[in-house]
Amino acid sequence: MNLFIFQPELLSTINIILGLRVGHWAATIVFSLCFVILFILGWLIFRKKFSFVNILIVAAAITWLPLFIHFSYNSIKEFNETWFILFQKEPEQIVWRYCRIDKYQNLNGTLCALYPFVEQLRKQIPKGSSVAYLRSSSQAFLGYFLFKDYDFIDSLDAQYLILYRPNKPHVYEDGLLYEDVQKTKLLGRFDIVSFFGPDQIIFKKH
Amino acid sequence: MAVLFFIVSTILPGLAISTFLKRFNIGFFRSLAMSYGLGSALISLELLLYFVIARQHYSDFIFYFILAQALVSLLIIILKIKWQEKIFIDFKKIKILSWILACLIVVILFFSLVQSLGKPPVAFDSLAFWSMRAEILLKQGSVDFNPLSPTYLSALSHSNYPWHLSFMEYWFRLLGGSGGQFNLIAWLYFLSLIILVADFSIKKLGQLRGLLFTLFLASQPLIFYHASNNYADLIIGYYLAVGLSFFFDWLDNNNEAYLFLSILFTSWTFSIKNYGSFYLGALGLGVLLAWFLKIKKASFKKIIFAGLAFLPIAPWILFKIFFKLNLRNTDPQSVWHPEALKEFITALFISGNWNIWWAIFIVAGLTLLLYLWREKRFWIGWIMFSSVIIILLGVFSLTENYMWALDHTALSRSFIPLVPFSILLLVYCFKLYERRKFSLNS
Repeated sequence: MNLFIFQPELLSTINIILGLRVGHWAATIVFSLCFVILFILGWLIFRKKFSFVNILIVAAAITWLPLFIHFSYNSIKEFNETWFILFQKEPEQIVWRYCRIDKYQNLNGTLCALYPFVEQLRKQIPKGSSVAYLRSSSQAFLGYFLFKDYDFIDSLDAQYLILYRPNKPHVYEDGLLYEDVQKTKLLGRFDIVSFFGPDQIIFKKH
Repeated sequence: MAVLFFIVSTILPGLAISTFLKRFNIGFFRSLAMSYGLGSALISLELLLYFVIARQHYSDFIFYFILAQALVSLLIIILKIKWQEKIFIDFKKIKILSWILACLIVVILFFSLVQSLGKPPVAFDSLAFWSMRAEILLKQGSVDFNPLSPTYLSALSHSNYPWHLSFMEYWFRLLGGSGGQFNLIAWLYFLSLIILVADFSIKKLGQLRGLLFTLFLASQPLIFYHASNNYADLIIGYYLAVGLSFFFDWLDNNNEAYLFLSILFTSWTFSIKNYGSFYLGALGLGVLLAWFLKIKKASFKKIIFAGLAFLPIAPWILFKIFFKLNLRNTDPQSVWHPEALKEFITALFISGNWNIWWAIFIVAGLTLLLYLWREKRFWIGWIMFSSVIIILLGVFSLTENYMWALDHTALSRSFIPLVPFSILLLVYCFKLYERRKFSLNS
């Protein structure tokens, strides 16, 4: 087990933090067992001199230390890598953050490309236009970043249609957009406003 | 400037309210820890009354009202606080080891502050629910009450979610806040929680041990991470911790004001996330047990007085009832998914979320049981804690929420409020043990 291993955006995920391992064992389990053993030993040896509360707290502090060192090491490294971003503007901060999460969590660039796509979209679509998006795992993020400037409607009648890393591959052929590769579900006739790759396209209602 | 105005507008009213509580012997540091929570809850309540209950459209009145409120609060603070009183720390009495622990806590707070300001909120819940609602309200200027509209109740999804965090962000946006600054909302709760736990623990266990417990809290990775991510779970942890600190004081003192404050803070968790109701249930159980076990005497007058503490949360509860907003996000059908129980073990003992806190807590609890099994207060605290665990076990194994346990998207976060709960409980039980030992020896 290496306590001095840097885990940017992996040590820290919003839902669960990955634990270190000691061989096949979770480090938390190993140090928890160490704590129990240390406490029992301390109690057997020092119980006449110290209260069990103090013995327990000392045992806890000692066995807390290894993972605390790991946490501290990561916090210092994280500080070292991130303090400069304090002086950047919000869009740069967002891009930097998303790309970093993307890189360390292997998210195939979906998050990293998101904000540059949003910025391009703002340049291409006039403010106040009605916009719809094709089903995507990034839908909520797009919705948040674009809500201020556009009127989002859940309908293909919108003036613009956004395709960003959709859940299913779509096909665009001869001005027609299909929801499936077999071309059985026609979504309608659209013109391409901007093309940033087959999974990042801005369409306009024909 | 937005940051300064935000801090001033939330902390000053809170401090002003705290000055009226001085006679209840709350102490300077707990007042300080309460001030941001009280002030932010006040603004949140005012915005709820304005936008949701009175159904008003945005007007500059909001801005001037909250600013005037801050100025009046400042006046109250200047007039009511006796500055010559000793409210600061006697540095000569601090031991070297305590200095080291205090410095470590301050460094952790500094690191989390840098993370807050440098990393704008980008995670799903933050953007899709809390920030989105602030954004919708800002754009539309009023709450959309049309049930057929895609922005019904200013939400694109989960319109049943409470408003507190969104209102905080809305107010921050009105002041001109942007990007990572919104993380300060959560960071200030983190700071307040640290001050509260330090104050409570030092008073019960002394300087060194109190600071060590505070460090245990501040250095748990998931707690640290949520201090800078505009999520709601740590905020629940804060209000719960303040509420419980008063509950434990109520158990030890003959002062019903502590129960009032305990209900006031704990009930506010319900305006942050729907699962705040679990903690309100636990507190209710604790109060009933205290009366049933005759630690406290119940009377009609006391019940009415305690009930008044629900007044601030009443508009939100009535709104939920009136608009038929439920507490759940999944289908109501009951299921049985024992495989989710295994994930509890992963979340609590195998993940890197909490260092080894839960092992310490369980071993300490079992050992305390040997010494304190006749102590009613001990049982009350642990039954309250266990009730929340039982509810969580039920929610994540008997309802459709089991899927959020299996994919670990919500399970660990649900334990965040339990960390300050468990720390305060353990500190309180250690104090019970030492008091008992002292009285036996003497």
